[in-house]
Amino acid sequence: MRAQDGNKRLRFGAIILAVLIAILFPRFAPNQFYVHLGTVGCLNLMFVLGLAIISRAGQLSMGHAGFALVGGYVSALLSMKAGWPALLGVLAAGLVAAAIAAALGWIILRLRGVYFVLVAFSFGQIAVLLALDMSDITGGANGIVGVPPLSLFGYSLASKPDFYPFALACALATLLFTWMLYRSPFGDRMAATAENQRLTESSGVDTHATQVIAFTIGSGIAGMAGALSVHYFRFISPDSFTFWESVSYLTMLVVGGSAGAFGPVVGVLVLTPLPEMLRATQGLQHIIYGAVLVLCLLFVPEGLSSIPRRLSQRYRATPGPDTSTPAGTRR
Amino acid sequence: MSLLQVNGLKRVFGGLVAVRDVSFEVQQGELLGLIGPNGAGKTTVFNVISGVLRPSAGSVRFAGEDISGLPANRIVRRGLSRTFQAATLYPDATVIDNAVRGTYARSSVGLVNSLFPARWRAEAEDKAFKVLDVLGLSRRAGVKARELAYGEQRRLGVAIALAGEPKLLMLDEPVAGLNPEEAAELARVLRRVKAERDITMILVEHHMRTVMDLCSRIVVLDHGTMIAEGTPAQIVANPAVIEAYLGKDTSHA
Repeated sequence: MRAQDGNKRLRFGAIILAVLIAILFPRFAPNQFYVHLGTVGCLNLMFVLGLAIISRAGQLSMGHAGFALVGGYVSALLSMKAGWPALLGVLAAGLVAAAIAAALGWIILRLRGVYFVLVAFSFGQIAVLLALDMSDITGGANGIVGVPPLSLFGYSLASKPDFYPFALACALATLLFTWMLYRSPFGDRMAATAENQRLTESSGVDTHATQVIAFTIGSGIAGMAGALSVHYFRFISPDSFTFWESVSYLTMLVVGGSAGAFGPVVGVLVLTPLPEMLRATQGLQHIIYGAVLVLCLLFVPEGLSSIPRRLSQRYRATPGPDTSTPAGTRR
Repeated sequence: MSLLQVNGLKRVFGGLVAVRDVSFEVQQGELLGLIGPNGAGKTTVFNVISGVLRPSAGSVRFAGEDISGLPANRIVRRGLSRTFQAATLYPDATVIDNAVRGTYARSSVGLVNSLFPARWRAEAEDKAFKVLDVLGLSRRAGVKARELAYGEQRRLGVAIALAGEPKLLMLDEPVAGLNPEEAAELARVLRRVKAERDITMILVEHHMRTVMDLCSRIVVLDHGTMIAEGTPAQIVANPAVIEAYLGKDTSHA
């Protein structure tokens, strides 16, 4: 259909434009703080996409920050104590987080619904407590200071404007991966499992393995993103990734919408700068933030990214004669 | 050749014996009815055969191989599909996507399919459309499953199971909750499916007319035990069956 082709081309053009704006963003930014915010947004996008992949298969991970914390410590320690290049440390962080998720998931994903949420939550808490307790390795509550910056082909990414393009590339790669995953047969099985696990199982899909794999992939991404952010901030402590970070990733996912790969982008774009914009209102900051969340949940429960689809459905539904006759008007 | 052999099947829930010593065979191409009063253990037998529950004792052999205790998804991939009692489908997906998800049993995830999903999807939709066509749902392909009428939802449930190209299809009360016309329509469709695709079927059903109409042989369960087996005519005349359904005549007048 031609209209569909045109629609596709339009969407493709919009994506190219958005990527261009994102690449050129530091040039427009009035000061370094905006670049910093952009970098944080890119890292947030990776976290939220990881969470989105897990939720695509029908599970809610309230321990997402725990995997980020593990990843952060792994990469920080490998690069400081073992002298690994930071980039290799980031990869190792992803693998370690994924391995833990696979082992944990194999056991706990047999639990349904609220039990998985509780165990995942406990994992996040335990990760924080371990980081506090194993002070001879992790530095305890003081954390680890002076983590080396990332370097790419001998070029150090220590400054904010240097790190931003790398963070953006990582975020876009994750986004592309997520998009392809959702379109793949495996992604379809994930969505089917979330919607009706019993029926999917009796369509020949090992739904337990499907959920474990989704949990492994999502948590692995969280581990890598956690490591990246540690090399960016050059610092990690048990407070870097707590339960509240898990909550904030979940909030971004819900506000943006979890139906497609682009929902998290919207959620991150809205919620990363929001607290900064509200900072001027001082005491009202948290109240307004909360009000925005409640309004979103009330009026766009499927997320902000569902608005265009809803509008187009309404637009398509209005033309043509109204066939339904309201009760009482019939003669 | 017997496609399915159930031998001395037993299933216990805590102290309750839901099914005890049930044995029967299903021949290739047959349509077997499994009937019995409420709580007779029909659905439990279904769940054990399809791998949703493990048997406490006894064995299930399908196409000559022991499948007892295998997980449900592996049993389906061997060619034994089932439908569920209530309308079990993906309510927020379109009818065609529902049927596509039924084809999972016959496709692999694969790296090539993952990188280039267009061909996989086209093939799956092709298969799905054929199944929808058989069940008279192809005109509803673009509609969300939750928007279908109840009778259509039941047919979609059968379509999802058929899309997996089973050798043996187990239907759990397919006409429950349908009005007489819809029930007759579904019975017609099932007969056609059986003829066209050479699928062996087991039918759990309360609706006596459908059972008598469709089935060539009937197994009767009561309180977890098998009380009769035979052709519809034999079953109707069997005193044990009549007693199970209507109660014993105690007035020795």
